[in-house]
Amino acid sequence: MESDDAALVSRIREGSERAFNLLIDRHQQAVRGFLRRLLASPADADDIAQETFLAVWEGAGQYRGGSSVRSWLCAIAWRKAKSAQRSWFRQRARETDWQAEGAGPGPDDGASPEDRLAVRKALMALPIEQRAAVALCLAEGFSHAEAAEALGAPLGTVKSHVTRGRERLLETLNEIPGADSWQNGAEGARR
Amino acid sequence: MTDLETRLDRALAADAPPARDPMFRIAVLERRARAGFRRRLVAASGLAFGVAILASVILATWDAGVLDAMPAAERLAAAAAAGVVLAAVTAAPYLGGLTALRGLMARAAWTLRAMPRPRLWL
Repeated sequence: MESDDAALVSRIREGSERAFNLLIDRHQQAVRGFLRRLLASPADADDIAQETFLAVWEGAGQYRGGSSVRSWLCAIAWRKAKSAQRSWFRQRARETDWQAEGAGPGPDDGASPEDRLAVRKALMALPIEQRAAVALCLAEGFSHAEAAEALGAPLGTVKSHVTRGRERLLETLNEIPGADSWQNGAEGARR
Repeated sequence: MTDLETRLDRALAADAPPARDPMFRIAVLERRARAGFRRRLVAASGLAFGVAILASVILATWDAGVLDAMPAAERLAAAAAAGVVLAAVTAAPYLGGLTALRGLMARAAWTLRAMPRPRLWL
């Protein structure tokens, strides 16, 4: 898979449209998932994800091959997200978008809306570096080393960000009632 | 895994985008096409402007007698050549000229980066 990805990037460097399409199909979920958990608005997240893939098309030659393509993509997304975060007004204007767009229950994901909202809110309350580490390691399944590569941070820092962030999210969930009541209610409604 | 951890995993997984999303890919390709078009338009306008300035400077400084002394066929050929140059310059960004230029610049940058750096200190 890794060598496949590296081959895709070298074909993109030569201008292959097909390789570019394949790369998008293969990695859009990871990049968008990471950005959606990092930024307040899903629209902003998708916007930056698109910019990330455009940057890959224009700068595929910058991939050195030392890290995985997935980490490289998330590193680009991370840099772009950080510079977007600096635009405070943009963030303020859209910071409640997620409540409208992302608060409804997903299809069979098994999470109650209360849990989703609480976790989302707690994630947004974390410092951005900690949030990024949590998003990559807990939600996207990156290893600590991969996340450290993507975020350009020392491994120990990433590990401590993930541990602290996870504790904070668990504390938040502990403060609201369990999901059982929601699941029972949802099943009752289905019947 | 405790109940709390399961709930956290589910809540985090709930925000995941779909594994396959052709609309997202189309949005990226559309954005790339728009960016490319904008870049080519700017390049073509810049080049055409440059050629127009150059042509007006040449015409202003050229002795009109030279043109008058030319046989009609040669005058026609000169005008046609000027037209072809202007058209080629304007169309170059749309015919891959810009991509070729970028490729050349990228290759030059790679070569420069690969060259051994001179030591500036002893």
